[in-house]
Amino acid sequence: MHISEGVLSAPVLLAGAAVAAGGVAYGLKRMDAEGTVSAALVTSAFFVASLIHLNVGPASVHLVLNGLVGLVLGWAAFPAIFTGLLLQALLFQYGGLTTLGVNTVVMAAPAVCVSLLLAPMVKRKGRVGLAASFGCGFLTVLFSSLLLAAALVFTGENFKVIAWASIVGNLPVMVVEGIFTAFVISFLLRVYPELLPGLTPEPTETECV
Amino acid sequence: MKFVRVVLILGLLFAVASPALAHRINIFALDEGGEVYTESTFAGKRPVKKGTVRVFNADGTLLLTRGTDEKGICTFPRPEPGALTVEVDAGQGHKSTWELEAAEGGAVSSESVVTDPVPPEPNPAAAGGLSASDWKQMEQVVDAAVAKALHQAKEETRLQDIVGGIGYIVGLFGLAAWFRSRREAV
Repeated sequence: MHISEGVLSAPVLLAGAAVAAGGVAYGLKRMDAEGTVSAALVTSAFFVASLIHLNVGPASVHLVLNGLVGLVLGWAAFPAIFTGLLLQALLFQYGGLTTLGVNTVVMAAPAVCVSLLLAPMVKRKGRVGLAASFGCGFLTVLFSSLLLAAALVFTGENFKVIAWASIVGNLPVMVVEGIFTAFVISFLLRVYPELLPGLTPEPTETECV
Repeated sequence: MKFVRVVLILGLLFAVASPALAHRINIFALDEGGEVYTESTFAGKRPVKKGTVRVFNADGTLLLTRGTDEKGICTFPRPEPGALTVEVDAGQGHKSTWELEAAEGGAVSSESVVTDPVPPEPNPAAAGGLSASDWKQMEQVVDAAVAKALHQAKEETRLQDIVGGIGYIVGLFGLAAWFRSRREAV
């Protein structure tokens, strides 16, 4: 998911940087005082997640956690993911400084969109909420893979080929990510609902399964 | 109580993360007397299988393209003595390069070792009765081993980087909170 230095052309890098800058600015504007605390916590988790390596069958994948970041932070996912990626680039040489903008957009834009769409469902109790959080983790990585393919298509690679490779390659991540997101969200809703002000179940919804 | 839980969760994360790995890509290239040996790995020393290795000269001209084997290894005869850039491309935006210096005296080819100005006859003063060319070869082998070990050590993700990164995050968001509180106070 981290595009390395020297792969993309200047227009793609600049477009990515511009969109990322807009997203980061808007996300910072939307972040309130309490949100800053959860943003720091979730950014730390995101920063470490790429180091957690899982063997799924023959493939070895690492968690991205952008779905979780989006669900907990909403628009603040942009500054959170930007910070996480910046430090990953500086300390672990994942991705790179020039591709920071593109990588931020690839990971944060789907996170914001999917979480805005699914948050109302995640709020519901029981299986629906659980399925929605799974979907959030799963779909965010799916759309990120597509965006990654879209960014790489300008390097002259065939979109269908690269999109397919990207989706197939990331399929195990999507599943693991979905399960992890569902687990973490249901845990947080039970133990620290105050971390998820946007997702606390509404008292009117009582249809428990 | 809450703090204890957070620490527990973080501790669990670290326990799972012990062999720190991800999709960082790395290439290491070495000139072994005219034959270039390259090893491409993702972080965690997993080999880059079916990667593409491209070799460029100082002008950026593509000299040759090869594939990596199951162990991420790819060898080829040095296409020219000047400085080379060796690049590995594993697809999906994973790319890395290694700068190979211009061939040093003696490392160009076996032919140049023979025509080396250093007297070829065994020098009894050289350690253990080794000839000058033996000595030179040994030096090359040791240099190569050291270069590889250093490269691998640099490649590893260190715990202090992880902890330092989390420290940065806390500090940066702390700064953000401070700016916000100042703005709200005004």
